[in-house]
Amino acid sequence: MAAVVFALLVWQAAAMLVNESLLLASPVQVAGRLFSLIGTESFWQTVGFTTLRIVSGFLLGFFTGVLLAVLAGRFKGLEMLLHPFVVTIKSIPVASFVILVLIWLGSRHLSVFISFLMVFPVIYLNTLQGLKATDVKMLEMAKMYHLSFAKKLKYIYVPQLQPFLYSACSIALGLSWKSGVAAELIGRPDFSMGDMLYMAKVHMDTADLFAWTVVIILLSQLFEKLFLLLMKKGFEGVMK
Amino acid sequence: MSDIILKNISKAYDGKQVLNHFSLTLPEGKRTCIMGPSGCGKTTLLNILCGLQKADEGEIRNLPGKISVVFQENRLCEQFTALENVRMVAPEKTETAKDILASLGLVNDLYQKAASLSGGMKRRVAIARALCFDAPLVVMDEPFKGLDEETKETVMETVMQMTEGKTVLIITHDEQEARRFADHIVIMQEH
Repeated sequence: MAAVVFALLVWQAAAMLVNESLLLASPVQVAGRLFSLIGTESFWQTVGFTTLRIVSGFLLGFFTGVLLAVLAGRFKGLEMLLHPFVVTIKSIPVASFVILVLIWLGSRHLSVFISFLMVFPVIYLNTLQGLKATDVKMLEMAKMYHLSFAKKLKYIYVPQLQPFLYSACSIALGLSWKSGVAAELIGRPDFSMGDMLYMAKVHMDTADLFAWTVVIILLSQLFEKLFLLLMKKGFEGVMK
Repeated sequence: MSDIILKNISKAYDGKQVLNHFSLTLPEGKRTCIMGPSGCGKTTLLNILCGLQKADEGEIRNLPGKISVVFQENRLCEQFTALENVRMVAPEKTETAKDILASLGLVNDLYQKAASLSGGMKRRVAIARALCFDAPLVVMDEPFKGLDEETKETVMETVMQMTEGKTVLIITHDEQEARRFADHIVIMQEH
C-alpha cells in the first residue's frame, strides 16, 4: 500500500513538473476522468464487452491446453503431432495473427481468439512439462497398490501439476489481457476497451488513455486473483 | 496360495550380469529373509518379483495378483497426512489404518502431513501402508532402516504379528534383524 502511495506521489510530482496534461496527465486528472467514465452506461458496456471476450479466450486456452497436454502426456504420437502447431503459435507475432483473424473472422470476436492463442501454448507446455516430471517411483507405488486413475490423479498428478499450473496461469492471465486489448486496438470492434484506447490516441486525450489503462490493470489483477483463488480451491477440493 | 517359485532368473544391465540363473522358493505363510552385499541384485530381484522389471530369463510361478511392498525409499504422498497415505490403499479400512499407525507409535501423528514427518516416522507410515493393504505376499526392502533400536523392536513386533500367515520376503543387511525376523535366510553373493 505504501508503495502504491509512493508511486502516485512520484507520478503527481512528475505531472506537476512537466505541467502539460497532453504529455502527462496527473493522477488527480485521471481519477476525475475515471469517475466521470464510471457514471456512464457505455463504460460498463465496454468493460463487459472486453472482459467477456478476454475471459472466454483465457478459459478456452486454459481448458484446451490442459486437456491436450494430458492427452499428449499419455500418447507420445499426439505430442509429436501437436509440436509444430504449438511452436508456430508461440513464435508468430501477435500482430500477424490479429490481421489474419480480422480477415477470417472480423473484429467482433477477435480478442477471444487472440487471448486463446496467447494462453494455449503457455498452459499446454507447462502442463506437459509437469506431467513429464512425475516421479516414476510414485507411479510404480500406485501400480503395486492397484490405485485407480482417479486416485492417481488425486495423490500423484494433481500435487505434481499444481506448481506448474500456478506459474503458467499467472503468466497467461497477464498475457491474455495484454494481447486481447492490443488486438482490439488494431481491430477496433465497437464498445471495446481497445477502441477506447484508440480514440484516446486520436483525440490526444492522455487522461482518457491513463483512465482506461488503469481500468485494464484493475480488471486484469482482479481476474488473476479470482482465478488463482478458484484454482487453489479446486485443487484443495480434488485433494480432499 | 502355494509356495512362490522363482526359477533360473537372470538379469543384466549394460552387459553386467546382476542375477545369473537365480532360483528361490518362498514357502507359503513363511518369512524369508535375503541378505547380501550391496550390488548383488537383491533390489533387482524384488523389482522382478513385483513385476516392475522384466527378467531376461527365467520364470516365476504362483505369484499372487496383489503384493504389499515397502520400497527402499518411502514413496509417500508428501502433501497428504500419514493417515491418508495409509488409507489410500484401503479406503474402507480407516479404523484399521489408524490402529496400525498407532501400533507403530504414530498415534499422535495421524493428521500430520507426510512432508512434516521425520525420516523414521515416514518409514513407519510406508510400513503401515503395506500392512493395511490386503495382499497374500508382503515384500519389504530394508524396512527397518533408519529406525532407532527401541522403535525397530516395536515395529518388527507389529510387522510379525500383522503378517502372520502371509508369505513375506524381506531384504536386509542386518544379520541380527534377519535372525530375529525370518523363518529362513538366503544369502546372495556378488558375481
